[in-house]
Amino acid sequence: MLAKLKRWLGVDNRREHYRYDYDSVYGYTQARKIPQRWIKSTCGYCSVGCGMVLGVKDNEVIAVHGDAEHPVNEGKLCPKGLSEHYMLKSENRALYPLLKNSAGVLERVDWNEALKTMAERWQRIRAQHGPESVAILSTGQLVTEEFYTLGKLARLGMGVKHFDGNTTLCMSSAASGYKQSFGSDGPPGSYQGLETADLVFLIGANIADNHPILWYRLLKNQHKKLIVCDPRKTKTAMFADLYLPIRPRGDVDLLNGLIHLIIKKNGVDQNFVNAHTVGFDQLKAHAAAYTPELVSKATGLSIEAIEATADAILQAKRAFFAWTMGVNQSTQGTDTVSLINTLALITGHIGRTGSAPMSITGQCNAMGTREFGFTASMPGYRKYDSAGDRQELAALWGMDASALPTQRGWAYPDIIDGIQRGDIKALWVIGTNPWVSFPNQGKLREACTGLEFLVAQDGFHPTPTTEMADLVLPAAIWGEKDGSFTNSERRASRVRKAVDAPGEAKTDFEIFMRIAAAFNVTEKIFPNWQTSADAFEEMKAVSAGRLCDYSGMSYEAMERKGGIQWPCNAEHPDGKDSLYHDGQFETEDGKAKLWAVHSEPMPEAAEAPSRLILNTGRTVEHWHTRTKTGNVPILEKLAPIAWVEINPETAAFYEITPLDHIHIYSDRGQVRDVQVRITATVQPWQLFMPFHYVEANVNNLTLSAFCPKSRQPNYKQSAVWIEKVLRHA
Amino acid sequence: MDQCIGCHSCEVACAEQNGLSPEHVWRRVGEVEAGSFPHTQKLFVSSGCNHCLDAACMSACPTDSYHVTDKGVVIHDDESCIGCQYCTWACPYGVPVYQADRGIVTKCDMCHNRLEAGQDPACVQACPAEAIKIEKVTVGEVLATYMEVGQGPAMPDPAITIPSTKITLPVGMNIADFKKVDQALVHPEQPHSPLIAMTIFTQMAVGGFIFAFLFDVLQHLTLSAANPWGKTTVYFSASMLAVTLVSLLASTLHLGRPIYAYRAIKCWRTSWLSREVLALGLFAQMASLYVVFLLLTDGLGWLNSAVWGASPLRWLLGASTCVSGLIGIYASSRIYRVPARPAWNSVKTTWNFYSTALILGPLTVACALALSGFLTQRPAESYRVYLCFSLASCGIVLALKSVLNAYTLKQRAHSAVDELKATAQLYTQWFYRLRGLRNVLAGSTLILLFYWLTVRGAVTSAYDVLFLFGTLAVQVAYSLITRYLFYVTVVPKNIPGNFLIAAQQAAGAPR
Repeated sequence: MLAKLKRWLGVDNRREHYRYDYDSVYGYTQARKIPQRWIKSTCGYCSVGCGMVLGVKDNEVIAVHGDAEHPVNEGKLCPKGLSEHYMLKSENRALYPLLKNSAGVLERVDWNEALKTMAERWQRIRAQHGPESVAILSTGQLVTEEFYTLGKLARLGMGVKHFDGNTTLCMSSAASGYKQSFGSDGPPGSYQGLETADLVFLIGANIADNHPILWYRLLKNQHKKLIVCDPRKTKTAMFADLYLPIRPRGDVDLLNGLIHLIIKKNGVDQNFVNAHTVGFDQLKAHAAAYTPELVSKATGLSIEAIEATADAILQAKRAFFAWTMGVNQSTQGTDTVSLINTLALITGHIGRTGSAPMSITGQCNAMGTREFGFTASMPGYRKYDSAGDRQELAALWGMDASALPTQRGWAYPDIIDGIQRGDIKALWVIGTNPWVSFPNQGKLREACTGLEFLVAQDGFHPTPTTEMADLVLPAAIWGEKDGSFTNSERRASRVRKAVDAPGEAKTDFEIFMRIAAAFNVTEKIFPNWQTSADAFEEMKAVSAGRLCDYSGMSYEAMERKGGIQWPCNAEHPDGKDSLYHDGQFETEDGKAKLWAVHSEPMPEAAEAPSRLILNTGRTVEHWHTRTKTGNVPILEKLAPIAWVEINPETAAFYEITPLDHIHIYSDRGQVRDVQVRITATVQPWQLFMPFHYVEANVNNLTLSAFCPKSRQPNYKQSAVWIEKVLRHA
Repeated sequence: MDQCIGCHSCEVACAEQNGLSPEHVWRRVGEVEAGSFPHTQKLFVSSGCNHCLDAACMSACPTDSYHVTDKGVVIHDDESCIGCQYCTWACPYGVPVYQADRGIVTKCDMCHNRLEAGQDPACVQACPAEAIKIEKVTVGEVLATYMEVGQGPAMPDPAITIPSTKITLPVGMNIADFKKVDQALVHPEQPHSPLIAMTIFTQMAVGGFIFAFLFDVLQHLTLSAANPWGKTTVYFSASMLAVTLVSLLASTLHLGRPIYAYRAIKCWRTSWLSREVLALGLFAQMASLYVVFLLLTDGLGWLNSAVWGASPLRWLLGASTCVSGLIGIYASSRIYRVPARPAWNSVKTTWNFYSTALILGPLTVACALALSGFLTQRPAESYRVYLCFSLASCGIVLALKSVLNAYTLKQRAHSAVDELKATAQLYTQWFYRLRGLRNVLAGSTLILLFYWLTVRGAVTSAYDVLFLFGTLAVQVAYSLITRYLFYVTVVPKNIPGNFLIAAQQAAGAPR
């Protein structure tokens, strides 16, 4: 009372609260931001994998900074990383296990009851409807140790046939494309390439917005030529030496055109092609038709721009081809990736620093689940359909090879189809939010009404997904658990616990172990395991001799070196900067496959002006479905509302002014009352909308079209129509 | 600017470094855009304090809370600040922020304590595009170059404050092509209610004193008999004094630290706010003396009115009250005339303030005359001329003011200055209804005055008194709304904004 009066009168101006002091590590700063100790870890948002230090005081992370000694980011962080500690304290953390009662309301229960219910209902459904009636959807957000644990639990302990992750929504095309070309997943290059290449060719990648720290790395390169191919003039494209304003889905035609020109201009590295690849003759025949004239017509690019791009590749001593979702999220995602690989292969741009076809991943540990997740491949990049691989794994685990699956089972969209058909009755969703992120929400919502048991394991509640769940398992998140993340350049970095999880939330590792106990399989699959470090030790053994070799790693070395790029073994104790330096690929004959692909039309035609092409994507301020960033005050302030970008010409056609809102419709659904942003960064008759906002969910509009090989959704092009919201006086 | 990728890392790092809540950030990143696809150009401007050579914050500050370090960093002293927020109006870059939780203004200090310890400022340290640099420059270098390097696209004119910031533009770009992305997304400013009350009622009091004094003099000159109006002047002046004191006291509620209001007089050499406080303070003192004098003579008769009633002291005190009041209003109006706020930065502001005095003052006097005349059953003819003169003055000024307001609005709607255009947009769109109401009130007042002057013309019944008080009420409402609109429709100069924040603020626009 007195304090309030003093403040009101102005006697007090909260001087003490805003006092500055000197921190021994960071220097002069706000006194209340000075912790008792700093803990090194790795950022938990995106795949760049920035090193961080977390300042802990009284079991609370009160400050974070970039780790100046970390080779990835050298102390830099993006705004999400700089405010990551607020996520831990956010109001929407999941604190207690919740079980839906007979009235359909989620009610707090204790862990024993939650896990007992989980095991009982899961096993009952499995017994009743067969082994194909249960499925798991995982994530790219857990530590690798947890992915490995979950994989073993799902496949070997619970016998789940259909097990996939949200990584299928963001990078499965890259993984499939690598497998098609090189016989294995695994990005061949590293960030060092951004600094050393003389040509950096970004295709469908807006790193200035989505991976700002990679932009920092790219800026160190003073002699580069930067070519950016994107239908939008993104922040990244603004800085390009050559910007290719391509028509949506023009990438396959462009790549074919570039291959055509390189062959025509004798730019093929014939020695490399002869020695290390197969399929050149078919490629040559295939590419012959893709003259610049034809490609120009198909892509909307000028002949000069196409020629200039080809010339830049021809002149480059080190060419770095990098892409993200613009390539991956397409019905031709896998083949487009393989085509980029092909371009790199015929020009010999692989196996050296600065020369690589490089997929920039999305989530902090999408790579970890690719390496050890037991979803699209078996741990250690092993193939389900290889008897040898199964044999090897079974031997490592001391079990019979017949216990291992011979097929990967359904991928994410096929699991949703399975639910819709009524084949799948129980679904366990871990660390992902399909009720915002999956395309064609209407279909998902309808399909999932048929689920008998939905378990949501997440660090946050309520989310649109946990609200749907019958059982909510509260999980610890980044900052509250130990393990490792692998970034886009194969760098396994240490992730450390700084504080305890809130409420009764447990680490995902602990939850998996307790579920294993409830399913009575602990001895079988996790003998003598105590902590996630035991999983790490087994991962090292399982990956020994594989491409993603962890055998030479230790937590201590990972922390000391700021992560280690696999393969790391006795031969390469410090890891490797590039894969395939010897031209030996992971195929049976050791040769890479050159891929010849024709373009297919977009899954949905959009005839202007009545139909517009809707593109979706991320923005720098938010992370995915905003369960994490939506409660970080400064990020929410910077990007508080959803918006849709529209070209001034299109806006004028529809008589839309800057203050207007519009409704957007597609054959699948609608988004109502969205703020427009009139900007010439999008092409006429195209729209762009971020996918972060459940309150204006662009995935009500996106379509159920998937790459047949990777099963990745075609998020980037949907046909929509719009209507201006009329204002009423 | 040629390097910034608009990632906002600097903004977040600054907030963390200085423990600022998101509403009070010291550094902001704005956007400008030019060209059509695919030749679109989008640039970002990350801006903290520009540490100007002619810092507008510093000359505005009434409490001497701004200082320049020996390195040229403009820093703000949190302890002496009283939270008057005048600096936030004066800075054309919107740099000083009022932190309501502290009751003071705070601002970017270039992390000068970090710099001195050999560390980078938080924004510099955080920037992944290496777009922010601290360079040592001499005053001479800044003076020689600020007109070129201090100018960015859609940025305030560097001539206003001589910023020491150097904006690096991409080669070959044309500044004039760029527009702020938040250009069309205007939103109102704070109404500052205590200031609305303070300015309106002090102006009313000054106007009242002037007319009362004028009439006092006139009747003494024209009438041989002792004061025929009895104690009207005493009571009226006492009421005006009460209004003045209450509104001055209320104005301290505008301060974040009301208890330190007295500090506001410190910078009378530079700050118009200090001058206003001094002048209005003097006005209150003179008015008090004047009222005491009137009480002792006309009121209580303790001083022989034959001797003192028309003495030079009476005229001196009365005149001093009026003059100090007029100076006070002038000083008040000068506070608002800052280049950072184009809609205020005009002699029109001074006219607005004086015209309020010239409308409400005579109207109040007229009401007082009518009331006392009616209560004391005084012959209507004895004060009829004064009454009609007051009401006519009020009507003429109001009519003039309304015409000028309409003209100004029209002029601003077509102004080349974006902020003035935006002000007009706020008047015609956001505050469409309130502006309409204000115009109705002005029209009604004029009709009422005209009716009374032509049809009634003299106080013959209680109805006349009520009628005039009713007119006064309408006019007070008009003045309050007009002043409210004055505060909320000003569009400050600023760096380009963040589209989404602006869109959210503009979303409150009536549909």
